[in-house]
Amino acid sequence: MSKSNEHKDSKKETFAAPEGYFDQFASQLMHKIEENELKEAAPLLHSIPKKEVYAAPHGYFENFRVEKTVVREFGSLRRWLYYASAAAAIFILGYNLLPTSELSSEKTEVTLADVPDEELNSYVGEELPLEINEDDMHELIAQDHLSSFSIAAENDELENYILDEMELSDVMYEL
Amino acid sequence: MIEKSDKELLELFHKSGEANQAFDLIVRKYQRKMYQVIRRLLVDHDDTHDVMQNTFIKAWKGLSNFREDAQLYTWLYRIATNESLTFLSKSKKNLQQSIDDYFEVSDHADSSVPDFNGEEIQHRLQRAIETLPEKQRVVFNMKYYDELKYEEMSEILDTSVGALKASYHIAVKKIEEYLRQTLNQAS
Repeated sequence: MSKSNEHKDSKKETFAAPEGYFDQFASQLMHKIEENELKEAAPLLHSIPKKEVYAAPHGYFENFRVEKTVVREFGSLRRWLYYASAAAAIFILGYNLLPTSELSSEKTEVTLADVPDEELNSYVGEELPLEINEDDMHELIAQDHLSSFSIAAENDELENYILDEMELSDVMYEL
Repeated sequence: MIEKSDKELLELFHKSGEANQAFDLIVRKYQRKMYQVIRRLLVDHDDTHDVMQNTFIKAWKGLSNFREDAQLYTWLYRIATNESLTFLSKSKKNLQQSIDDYFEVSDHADSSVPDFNGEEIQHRLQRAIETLPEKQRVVFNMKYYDELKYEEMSEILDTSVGALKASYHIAVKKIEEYLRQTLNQAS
């Protein structure tokens, strides 16, 4: 090794840069250039304070959990429940309205007439618990299931209605 | 608590029996950033939550095949962006309306001169961004809000750096023009 090289090697940098300074330097410089470009190209946009405008509800991130086992390809459970509820409501409404609004009584009679009596008796006997005995009534009253059938009327009003609207023979029959 | 580096998190994930814990830490580390990436595109919080779920579920499924030479952040960013764009393609939501709802616009808002430090100018900026085509909107958000390098954006969007620079430049010009017009109308 020559003397001049030895001399060069013995020279040391006096001022050391802070750790990581040069790693950041290039990106900071680039950022500065881009900011200046934005200022020149879009002064209005540049003058607007840059901030995240959309805030998550309070506590959202603390409670956020990934539902790893749920497949959510078709949207959220919330949305599915919403559509399912709407579909169920439409079905119930349609089911209740259809016999009176859409089907004529004649058509219903024909349809029922087509069903053999044996089948009707069997269906009614097996599927519909039409017979309600005294115990069942007590049960229903106890559970308040008959509240929808209560009549909101005073005794005087009932008396007037019976006298005005019913034949005396019918009243006598009822008594 | 000191936040673990991506490398440490991935090492933990690959350890036997530690995958769930590692993934939970990854979610904690990146959930806020991903929330903003998605929310800026979808505006509505509930939609954002749905897409957040999808994003992290896909991450959970794909993490075992994740290339460790790539950055976890850009990988998640890519999934979040793709999921958001897929959601938008299926959704029929009016984003302008969602933006207005968020800022709760009064009848007088459009006729007043906006305060540049206030919410109204932020509202107008969001409206301006919403007028951009979807891909341009993604590019604008990446550069303007997240200050990503073009190289990172290129990795996320599979688009050349040159095309991204051009796209961002056009987006900026459009937003500036929109802001100028709305301010002229207001004054």
